[in-house]
Amino acid sequence: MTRPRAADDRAWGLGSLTGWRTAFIGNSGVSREDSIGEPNFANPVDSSGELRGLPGLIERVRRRLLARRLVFDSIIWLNWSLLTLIVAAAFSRKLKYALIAAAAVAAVGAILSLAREWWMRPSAYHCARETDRASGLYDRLSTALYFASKQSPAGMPDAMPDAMIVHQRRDAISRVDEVDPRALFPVGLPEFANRTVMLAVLALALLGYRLYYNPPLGALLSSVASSHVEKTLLSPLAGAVKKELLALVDRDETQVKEASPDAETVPGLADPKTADDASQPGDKDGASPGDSQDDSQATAGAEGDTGDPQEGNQPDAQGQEANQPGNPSQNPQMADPNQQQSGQNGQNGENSSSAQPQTGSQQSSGSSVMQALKNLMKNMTGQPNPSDSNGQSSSAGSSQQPGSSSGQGEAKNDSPKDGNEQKETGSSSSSQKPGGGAGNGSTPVPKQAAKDTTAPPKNLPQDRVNLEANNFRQQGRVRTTSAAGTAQVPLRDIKPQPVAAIKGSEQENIPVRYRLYVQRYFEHTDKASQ
Amino acid sequence: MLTEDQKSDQSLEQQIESLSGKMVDLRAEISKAIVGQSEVVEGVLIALLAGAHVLLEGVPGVGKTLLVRTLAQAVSLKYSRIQFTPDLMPADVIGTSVVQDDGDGKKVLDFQPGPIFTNLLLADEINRTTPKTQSALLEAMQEKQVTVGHTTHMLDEPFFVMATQNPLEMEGTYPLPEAQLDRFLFKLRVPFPGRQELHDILDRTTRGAGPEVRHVLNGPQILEMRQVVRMVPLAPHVQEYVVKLVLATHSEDRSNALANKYIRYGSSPRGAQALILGGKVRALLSGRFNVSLDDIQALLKPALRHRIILNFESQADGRAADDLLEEIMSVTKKN
Repeated sequence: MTRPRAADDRAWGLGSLTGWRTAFIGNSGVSREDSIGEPNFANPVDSSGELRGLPGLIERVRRRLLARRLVFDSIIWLNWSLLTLIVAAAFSRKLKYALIAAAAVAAVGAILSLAREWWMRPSAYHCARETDRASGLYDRLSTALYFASKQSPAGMPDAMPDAMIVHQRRDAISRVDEVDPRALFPVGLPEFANRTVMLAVLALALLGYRLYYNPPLGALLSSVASSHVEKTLLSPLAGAVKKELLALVDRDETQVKEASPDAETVPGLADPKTADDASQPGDKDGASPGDSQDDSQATAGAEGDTGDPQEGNQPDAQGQEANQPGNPSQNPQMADPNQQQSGQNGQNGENSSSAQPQTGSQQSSGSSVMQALKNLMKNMTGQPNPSDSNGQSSSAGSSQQPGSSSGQGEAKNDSPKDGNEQKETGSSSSSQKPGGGAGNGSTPVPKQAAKDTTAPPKNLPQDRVNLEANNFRQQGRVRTTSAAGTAQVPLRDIKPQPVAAIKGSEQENIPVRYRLYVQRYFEHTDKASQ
Repeated sequence: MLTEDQKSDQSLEQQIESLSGKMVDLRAEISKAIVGQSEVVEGVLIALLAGAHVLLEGVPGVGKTLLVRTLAQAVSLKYSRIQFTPDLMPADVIGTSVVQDDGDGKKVLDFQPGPIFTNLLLADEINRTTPKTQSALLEAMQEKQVTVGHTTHMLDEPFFVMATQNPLEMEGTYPLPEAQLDRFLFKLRVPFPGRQELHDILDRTTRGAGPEVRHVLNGPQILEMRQVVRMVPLAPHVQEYVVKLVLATHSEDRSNALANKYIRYGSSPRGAQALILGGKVRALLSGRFNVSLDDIQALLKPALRHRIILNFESQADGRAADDLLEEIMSVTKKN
């Protein structure tokens, strides 16, 4: 009976998959003698003194078996070492690290192999069985060895069994000379050694390459980065990611800016003046960005103390020189939103009217329209315009504060009042603002600011990719609560379907492959009855 | 001066040499009448020396009855033949008590032994009789005794039953129950002879008189050999292999997919006994003094094919017991 070929035994050009698996895992057939009936004595006991050359033969076989296993395990660990060397040489920047890793794997493998060989060293009985199997002695040696170690086999009479065992032993000893362990158990390379050679060649080639060039994978990545693929595929992705990052930075900046009037409540940040301002009722409810702008005018010195140049420039841009382009900033990307915000404040409707009194200089409506068109063009072209979030945020706050524009332009002291008006005019407006809860009551500002960062931004531009997917094609999970109830199932009359019957057997109830069998059975019965 | 051990050693050596010589002669005598069928002849001899019974299955005319008759002639044992029919009664097999005059005018019940009181019994077409009559053989085959009324009668040793059955004509037959089948050491299939064997059969049976078979063995010698056979040593790994094979036929072990799919009930412990006893005889017949794994493998099919009960799935898929045993043997490790 031929053994069916394993499904994964097919050749893939570089050898069969089973061969590669054996090259790295080994043969699971080699195991410690754990069978129930097999005795596990280490050395043959020549109790009768008639074993003669059998113990020596067993010892030679044991040495050869150990050597074969050691070579087998060594090749496997050599394969792992070479594989480690290949992978490390392909990825690591320094070649010596690859060599060290490969040497470490080889050393660990050598130690484990020796430990395994010592732990799984074959017993004399196992060696005798292997010799019987290899030399076709029909279990003569193993039987002789087993009964040589036992004085009186269990379940046998005393006199005759000894005679039979002596006969069996003589029969086995007479065939010891025919056994040649060197021919039966040759110590050589296993079959998968050719795969080791392939790995060694590959490793040497890789090492040779590394001696003169960069790491192969690094070179490959650099070539890909400058290729057409990167320009067509990776650039848009990188742009989108960059846009997201800028938007996040802007949002954080806005929140920090909105929370800045209340930041004075944090000990160590506020001077006595700003602390008094923050304790005013208007500040407790002052949630609009417009209010924060007004407050920022009053607390410009305090924010400057925080050392954040962005925040330090912001009050100047909004309250003093909002229309001055290119307000110096350490981070250009961060400075751009401020400029954009200042420009937008001067362009968008009410904001423009509110911005003009702040700067003190009249700007023509034409220039405002031009700036608006530029912003629109930037939004359409998809360029990162993180200042839109601030602009919308500020405009939203301003638009929901009727009359605040004049207040902003007239006096700084009106800002608390505006905050009160905001609270009085609509409570919903405060809930719609991202920073509306900043500094409410006695809540510590940093905690509230942290809460605001988790709130979903409502002032995102149109080209912003929403973080929460709306059209996610997956079966939705609805949390429901179980409740007792009754289910009504409509009833209907179902007539039994007619089924074909052959010889009294309904074919519908019989599996297809059994129908012929059943049919023959009933035909057979009919013939018998006739 | 020889010690007791040396005497027993010499005695055993003589017995073994005598056994080997007698077996060679017995085969030669049987081969005078039986052409080919070497495996069947070997199986019959193994069962004879193991002290068990054998069931021969084959189509009519392949030499089943001739084999049994030739064996009976070669071993010079009492030989009886029972042709099993549907109307055969148990009393026709084991005997009955009849009322007789003891000479003093008294009527006494006298037991008249049936044909079962013999050494070599040929139960021809055993599956044609009713289960009631088939069961009459149960006690005789296992305990080597017959109970009639309140009296138990011991059978003569050696008692060897060889039953035959026809696998083709199944109408009007009564398949042997599992308990009856389990009492047979081997179930041997007698194959149809090959081309050359058929020529030899025609030459021997259509020219002149039939061959004359001489006696080469007798009852006491057979009993002596049976004792020697049981002394053959058995290595533990061989016994473990037998246990694994028998357990592999059981569907209780969920890891055995083959048995789960096709086998309704596996082999009984008698199957393992049959394997080991048969292996010992085979080893001696092969000139060895120990049982080998090859002995077990060679006897696996005849020893277990009638001890496993297949399910409907195996019949529908056309899987025979021999196929399943072959697969079980291939997947069972030899330790």
